Amino acid sequence: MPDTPPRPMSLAAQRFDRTMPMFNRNIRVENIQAVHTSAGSASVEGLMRGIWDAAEIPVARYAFVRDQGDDFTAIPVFPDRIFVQPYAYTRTDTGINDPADLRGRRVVVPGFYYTASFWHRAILKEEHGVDASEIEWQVPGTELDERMRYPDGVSVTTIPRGSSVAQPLLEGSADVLLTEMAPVFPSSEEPRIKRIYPGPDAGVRDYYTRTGFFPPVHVIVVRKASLEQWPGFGEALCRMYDESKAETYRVLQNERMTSLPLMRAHLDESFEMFGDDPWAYGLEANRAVLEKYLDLAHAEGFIKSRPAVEELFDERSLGYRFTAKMEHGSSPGGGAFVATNI
Amino acid sequence: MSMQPNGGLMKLASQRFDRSAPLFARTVAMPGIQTIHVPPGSPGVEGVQQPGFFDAAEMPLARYVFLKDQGDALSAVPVFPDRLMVHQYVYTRTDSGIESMADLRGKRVLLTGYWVTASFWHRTILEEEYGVPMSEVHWHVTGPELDPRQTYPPGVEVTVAPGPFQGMEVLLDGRVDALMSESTPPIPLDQRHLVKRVIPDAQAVQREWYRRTGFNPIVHLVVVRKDALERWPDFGYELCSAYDEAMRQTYLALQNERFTSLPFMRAYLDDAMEIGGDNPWPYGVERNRAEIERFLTMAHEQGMTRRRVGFDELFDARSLDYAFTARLEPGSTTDGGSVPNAYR
Repeated sequence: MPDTPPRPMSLAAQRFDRTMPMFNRNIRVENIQAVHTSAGSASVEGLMRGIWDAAEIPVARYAFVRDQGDDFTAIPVFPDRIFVQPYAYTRTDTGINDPADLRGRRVVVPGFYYTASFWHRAILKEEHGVDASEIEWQVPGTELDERMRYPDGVSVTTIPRGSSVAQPLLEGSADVLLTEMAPVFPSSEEPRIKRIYPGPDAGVRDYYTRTGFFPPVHVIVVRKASLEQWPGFGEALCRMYDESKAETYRVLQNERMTSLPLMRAHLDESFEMFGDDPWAYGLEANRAVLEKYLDLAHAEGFIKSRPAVEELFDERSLGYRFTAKMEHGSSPGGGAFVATNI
Repeated sequence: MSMQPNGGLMKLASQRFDRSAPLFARTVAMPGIQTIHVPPGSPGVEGVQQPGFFDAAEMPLARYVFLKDQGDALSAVPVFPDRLMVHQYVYTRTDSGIESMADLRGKRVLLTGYWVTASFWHRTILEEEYGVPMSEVHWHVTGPELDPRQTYPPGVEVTVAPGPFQGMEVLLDGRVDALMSESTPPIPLDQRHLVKRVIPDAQAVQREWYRRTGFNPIVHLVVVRKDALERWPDFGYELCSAYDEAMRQTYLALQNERFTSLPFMRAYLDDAMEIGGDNPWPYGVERNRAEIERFLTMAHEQGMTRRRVGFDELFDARSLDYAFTARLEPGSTTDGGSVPNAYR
């Protein structure tokens, strides 16, 4: 079978520094049309309905859809990942001073089955001894897929969608917010809000050092029907993401490119802790954290069967060798990088 | 508001950083101004000193202050596209016996150039923080100074030994004992164990220094030809506006910790805001005046300028009316997609 597509394939994805070169065509991309979509439903629904041949979607959503037997596979590319601890907030008047204090409290999450929510629950249970069943969960609106059911013995209340995910916390109808990004709190409210995990980094360095987990929250999912038309599609996507990231690393490693005064320190630390590929794609670099996620999802009954990690991915894509590396050392000026990401 | 010039576009020579990329991608409206990318080094500097090339250019601060002392026909706007901390750029060989900055007394120390902006900060920090007078170091430079009118002060020993710009080879082969650089020199992997920073905890030291002084040394500013300002009196003001808008777009991307491919980015943003507030890369005179005054004093005391150039001589008066507004917000934007398409 000739390994060229009968038509250009579409990809719905987000813009980060590491994906800019592929959107801006600073790298050579053939037969793939990358379309920018914002997070969430535009990518997922478009993929489900066959508008996109591939899309960046939440890891949890993919695990669920795959478990339901839909016709999707994935490639081992994780454009978005986060440590969740900085995004656990409470008010200063709740008496909560430690994650263990969440026992018995009202906790709002943007979605019970958001990928980040699994990690919040895992950290609460494994590091602080608080089980999901000991918390009164609140979810604004319904889960993203109507087939999703909450686990037995866990109290989840559906609350009206507010103006922001932080609204229940600010109004006092919830004691805690566990989310996946830093909300913009009204400046008048800021003095009443604090993080729950202690330390200026909310403990993420320690957590990573102990566990090695830097949780992926998005993965690139591909329609099997599109792969049948172009068996090399997944591999081509891997190459595009790899080359795009290589361009980004080349810019990023120059501390003067980024407008933070202590950028060299940040690069040094990243190099020391994560090596020469701090935002790693590929199965092996992500095997442990993916195994962990699948265990969490299965233990909660979110997925009925616990697949092997390899089963998540297009086999041919697993043969792709990712090569993007961040060098240690800067060029004297940003200008040395000619027309990189524009 | 004066009109744009009749004689075609004004030409701005600039390097590409995250904060200037929107100028090149033209997500910033810049009527009347054309941005031309120049690599680091002399093209922009030379091209703005002669009529007919560039009307404005990014230029090293030291070079500009030198030209002011010489009476060249340039002005500037309070925009500082490049800044750097210097404690982290002092290197020695692991077998040199140098264990601290104080050990540099009497040693051979290589600078990129004696009058390179970063070199002033290197010498001042060595003298003030570590007690080694600059006259007690054997200075080496990798080439002649960039302006032939620049000479070395009496009582200071400077050896000109042509070599590669970043000087790591000169350090490794033992021709000098230490290197004071202005960037992270690429060191081959198999030689990395041969080189160390002279200040082992440089990152903590300069973080404390930054917190204490508020200084993040300016190495480049944007200079404007006075004849261009005569043709278009608002040119400097408009440059301020364009750089401010470019910074606003850059901060918008940067404030989203998921945008930048460093895993601990949220902690880095929080740290930057803790020290530098909501404007970690400030333009304008207010946040930069103390540091620039300090530099002007160093430039005179270290012997580059014949007199202490006055702060009020440096900037186009009309540009000082511009109120810079770009701020880094504490919340993450929802995703990279809210970033202007042109970022980088």
